[in-house]
Amino acid sequence: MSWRRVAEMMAIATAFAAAAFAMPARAADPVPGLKEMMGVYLGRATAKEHDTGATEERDIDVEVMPFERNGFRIRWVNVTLVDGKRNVPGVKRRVSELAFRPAKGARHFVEAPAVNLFAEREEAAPMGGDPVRWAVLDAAGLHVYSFVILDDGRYELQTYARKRAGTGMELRYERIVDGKLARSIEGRAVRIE
Amino acid sequence: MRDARRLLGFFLLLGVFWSSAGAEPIASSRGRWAGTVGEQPAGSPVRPGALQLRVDGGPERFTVSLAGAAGELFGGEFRAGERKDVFGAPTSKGMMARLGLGTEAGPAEGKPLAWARRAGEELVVYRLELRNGAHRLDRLALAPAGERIGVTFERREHDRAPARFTATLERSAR
Repeated sequence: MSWRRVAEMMAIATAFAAAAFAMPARAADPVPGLKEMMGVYLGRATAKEHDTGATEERDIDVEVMPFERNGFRIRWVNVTLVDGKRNVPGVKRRVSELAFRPAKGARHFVEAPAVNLFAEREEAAPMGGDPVRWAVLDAAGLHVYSFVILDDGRYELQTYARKRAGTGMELRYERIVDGKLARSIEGRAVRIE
Repeated sequence: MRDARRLLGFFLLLGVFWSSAGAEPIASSRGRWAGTVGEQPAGSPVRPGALQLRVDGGPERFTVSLAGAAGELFGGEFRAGERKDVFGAPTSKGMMARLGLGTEAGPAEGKPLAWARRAGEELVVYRLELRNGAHRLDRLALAPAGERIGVTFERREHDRAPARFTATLERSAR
């Protein structure tokens, strides 16, 4: 085989590899139960700080969409209202997004790290302060957990429970710091067409 | 005479400081401890009966084991890390680490994560484990005080309310 032929084959292989990277991930056939959760939900929730008792109202916008073959991506937008209004100064908007794929040999999902072709892939180091995130789909609904070991060795566990309820979902969030409930959010959202 | 008074004052101050500094909780917890727990509410991680605690090692590396009437409730080995007063599970280095054996635990991948912290005169040890789609997060706080030790154990699981019990154990010869 001539060097020219080898060079041609390498060029073709490189082109295929580039095309594979450029193609969007296949997003179909989510696991049973997950498909029912897919959709866009709008609602309202009340957040409570448990050390001060302070509460605040917020508009919530949750989107659950397919990710890869059997995973899901969840994106949520919180708009913290001022006196129940969202068109006055002081309103805050926060957007969060996570993607999960099924864990190997287990019944939960693990966070899919954001793809960065230019960064060296490293294992998450919980003892170094990296968060550990996982999700569980059960009969009640979708539960997302975010766990981190703080600098002083205490832990913080955030739980997001999104339970199916008629035409929408009930939302319950808890932030637990070393066993104590620091913040909770409760609300309800409806699925939009 | 004046120097002797100064020296005496220095030692008195040192004594006051030493007595207020408190005991190091790992050294104070070391040994075997035993006691009992009484009736427990439904969902408690422990059954009424004997409770045994064992702490071995020193401030650089130690093990903690807590067992109730129905078996082990908590077990873990800890080693001092880069952060002051925070301890992680021992990890392998060199070839073993390159092969992915004995490296830092990843609870999302099914490897339990154990760690500990020293908080004043208290030692708190933790363990997080994901199994069959459900997590279990244990927190065990040890408060040694002479020949007794206070034990506070809390367990959080995926779809259950947090369960907690406290007990006071006494130093055991066995």
